Amino acid sequence: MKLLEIRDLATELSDGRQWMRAVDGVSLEVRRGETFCLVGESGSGKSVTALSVMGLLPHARHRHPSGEVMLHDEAGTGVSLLGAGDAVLSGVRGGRIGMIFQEPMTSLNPVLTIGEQIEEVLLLHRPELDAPTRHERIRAALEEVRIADAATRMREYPHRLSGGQRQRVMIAMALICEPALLIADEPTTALDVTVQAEILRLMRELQQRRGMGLLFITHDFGVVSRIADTVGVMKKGQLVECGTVADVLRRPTHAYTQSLIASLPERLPRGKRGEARAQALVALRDLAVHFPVRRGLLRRVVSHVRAVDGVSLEVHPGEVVALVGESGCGKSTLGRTLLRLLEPSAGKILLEGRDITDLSHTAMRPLRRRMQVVFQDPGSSLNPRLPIATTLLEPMRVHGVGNDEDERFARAAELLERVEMPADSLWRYPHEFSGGQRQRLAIARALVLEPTFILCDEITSALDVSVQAGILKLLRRLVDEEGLGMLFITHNMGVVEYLSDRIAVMHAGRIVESGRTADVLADPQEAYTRTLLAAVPRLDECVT
Amino acid sequence: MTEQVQRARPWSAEVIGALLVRTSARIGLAWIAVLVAAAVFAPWIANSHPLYLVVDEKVSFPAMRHLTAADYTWFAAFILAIFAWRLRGPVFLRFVGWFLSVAIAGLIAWVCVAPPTLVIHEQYRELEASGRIDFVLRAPIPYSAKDYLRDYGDTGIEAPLAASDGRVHWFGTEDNGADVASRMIHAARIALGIGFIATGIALIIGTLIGGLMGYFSGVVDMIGMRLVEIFEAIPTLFLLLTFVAFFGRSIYMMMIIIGITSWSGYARYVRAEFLRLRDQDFVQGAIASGLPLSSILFRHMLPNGVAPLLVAASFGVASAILAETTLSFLGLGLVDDPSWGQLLNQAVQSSTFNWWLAVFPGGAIFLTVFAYNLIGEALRDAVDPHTQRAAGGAAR
Repeated sequence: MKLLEIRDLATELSDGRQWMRAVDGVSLEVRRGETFCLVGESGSGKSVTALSVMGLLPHARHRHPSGEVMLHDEAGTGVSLLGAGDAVLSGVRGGRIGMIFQEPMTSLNPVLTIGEQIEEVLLLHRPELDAPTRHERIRAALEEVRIADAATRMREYPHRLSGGQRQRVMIAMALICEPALLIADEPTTALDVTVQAEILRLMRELQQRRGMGLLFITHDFGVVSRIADTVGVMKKGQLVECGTVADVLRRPTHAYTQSLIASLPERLPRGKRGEARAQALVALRDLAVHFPVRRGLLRRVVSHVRAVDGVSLEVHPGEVVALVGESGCGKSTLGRTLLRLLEPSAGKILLEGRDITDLSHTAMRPLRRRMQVVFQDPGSSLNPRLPIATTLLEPMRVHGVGNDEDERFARAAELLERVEMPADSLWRYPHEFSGGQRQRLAIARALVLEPTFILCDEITSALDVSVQAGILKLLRRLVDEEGLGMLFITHNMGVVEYLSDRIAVMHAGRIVESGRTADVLADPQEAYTRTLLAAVPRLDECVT
Repeated sequence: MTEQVQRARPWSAEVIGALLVRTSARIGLAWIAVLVAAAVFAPWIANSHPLYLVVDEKVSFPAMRHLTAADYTWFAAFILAIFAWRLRGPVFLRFVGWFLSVAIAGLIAWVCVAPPTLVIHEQYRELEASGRIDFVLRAPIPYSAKDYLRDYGDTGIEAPLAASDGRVHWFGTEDNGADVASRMIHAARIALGIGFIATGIALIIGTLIGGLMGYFSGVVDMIGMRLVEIFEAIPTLFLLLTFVAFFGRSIYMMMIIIGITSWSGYARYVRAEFLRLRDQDFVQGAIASGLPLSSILFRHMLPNGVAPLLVAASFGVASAILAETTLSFLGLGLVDDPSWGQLLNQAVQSSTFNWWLAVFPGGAIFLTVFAYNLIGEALRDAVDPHTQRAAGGAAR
């Protein structure tokens, strides 16, 4: 039974000067009790499609050259949403269509309690209810999304809740008026993988119990396989392929879908790996980083946050060690401490057998060229005010690499070629490049000093899957050809599987399990590792 | 993700471009340009000395001969500014180069230029009356700022175009009989100079202290913030009055005092920016590359943190001008040199209300402060990523 029907929808957005087509002739249907997944890379128009349905696009900055969006009720009569007036739309939004957004940290109002925020929805759409009934319903809704002790939680402010709990509250808020359709825009992207698994299970359960339609937007094929009934693949504003989840994921017909699935890291072909050499490049011995917690008038240290708590780890030349863990487990702190960007509280850091734990900043400076780093966010990993040439040449000049400017220039150009960037990039500024290109440039920046060790801190998590595939191949090639040692911090198990030789699983500041990647993934010994691996959504586990 | 290649322009060029498309900024800049022209070319616009004179078949250029070192410095600064504008290279370097060469030019001018110490403004009018002049080319306003028209007797305050003896004063005359239009044109120098130099001093101190606070944080930050609070507690006007009472009246002293009492705001801005930038990946990357501290601070952090500073500075220029005007209005400004506040003061001094002494200088003050505020507002929009990046991020 049809619930939402989109016919030939086109949406154009304006930046004030010109119109750009963001959605180009999309037709789809969401039935009651069905989960429709819109999947695509960033900029493919999947969010804009959802926002067009809700009428939430910026006023006067959008137009619909064609298309029709119908929301059908149980009797079969439909209401047209595209270009509908505010009166119609505000009745539909929150009432008959619920919506959940990506970022749980910012989608709740920090100055209102959770109960008040949910109550507002009820006041608007169900004005006939009296206060005790409303409270009862809010409590029931929070219990339904499995918030423990819902009656107390209602009176708390959002900052008391974790990301996963906030997303549960968002779901409760979206479902409080029992909408016929729920639109979820990447609701689990910002969450840890175990939390994501719980939220996905919860959404699936609620949807089946209520028989509502679910339009689920995501970029993650693993998530698709876990939740979807029907899948639509979007590319540049067009719906290129649409079908049941088993058909699309197992037997993709469109070339674009095929290439997307082929570039998933767990699907990338793996070459033969050489054996790692014996002497450790970088070694950590019982490393601990404690941040003091100060309280009271005299700022006395009352306790410590044990971000990293006794970690021993070795990275050999020619191997990639993956450091895996959920957010807040201390893996980034570990990385920064290893580079001496943060001061360790205890333990030793050895670089090529030499203890660098207590070296002063001046003594560290010449050693810094041995170990380099690439960070997560492509938006901030390059200085936006400097052309690429300056960014690449300055460290060389400081460390005396190359005899004169011409030689350094030649080296920089050669490096750009190695990271597969055009040579004319040297005179450009970072904002002229896409996220993937910027990460390649950040890698070039790290390589320019001929390091023996590179730390990669979640460098592909902000990238699209096809771009990520290119970067991963590049990294593996660098490690295999040049014998670099690499510590790769990530939360993505697919990436670990493709890239790493050894894996270390980190939980609450400690390494709970480590070993050869294939062994650990095939036969995890620790309970935490098993939970983590079970939570990872995989392409092969289609719901049927 | 947009794979298209955009134009390769440095950030400064982007900001200037974004500034110039805004009408308010154009209006503000146009008025500042008028002021700059008036300040630079004051001796050619309003001067009792003729520009070109033929007496008894002898040719002379009295206006040129009476040019002071300040006149030469202003003119050199103007020419050098045009030169620096045409040059290529980073904006910051060009600015520093310009500033240094102006300083050198000023020094040379003070040493080499020696105008006649005895200035007799009325001699040309007397010459003309005696009929000895063969040809004369006068400035558009043929009165110097300090020409008190002694040869016409005690003229005093006159309304615009009210003189009956053939003189033409478009904006009237002031207390001592000097031409108001001429004094206003010469006063543009003080308005511009005090705004730029006082704000420049404040910017340099504020950036240094704020930058150190933001980068090192901890104890340095605590001491710096207490220093900021101390300086914020000093009332600028009261301090100026005290210094004027003790050390006499000097425009340079005013500039310095306004500068060293108003840096605290800039320090707060820079501190906040540096605290934010310190955790940015590219700064961490620069530290991890082993770059020296000076490069991290001045090459990687400062250029990324100047945006709010530029905005604050253009408002700061306006408030420095107002501070000087206030002082002159209270009668504690410069003694003989023209200033808008001083003219404004005379509007209410005598028993009658002299509207032309209120309207014209008051209007100039209003327009100047308004122009700087317009530029500040437009600059805020121009450097704001939310209004600028609309083009790239629309199709998410």
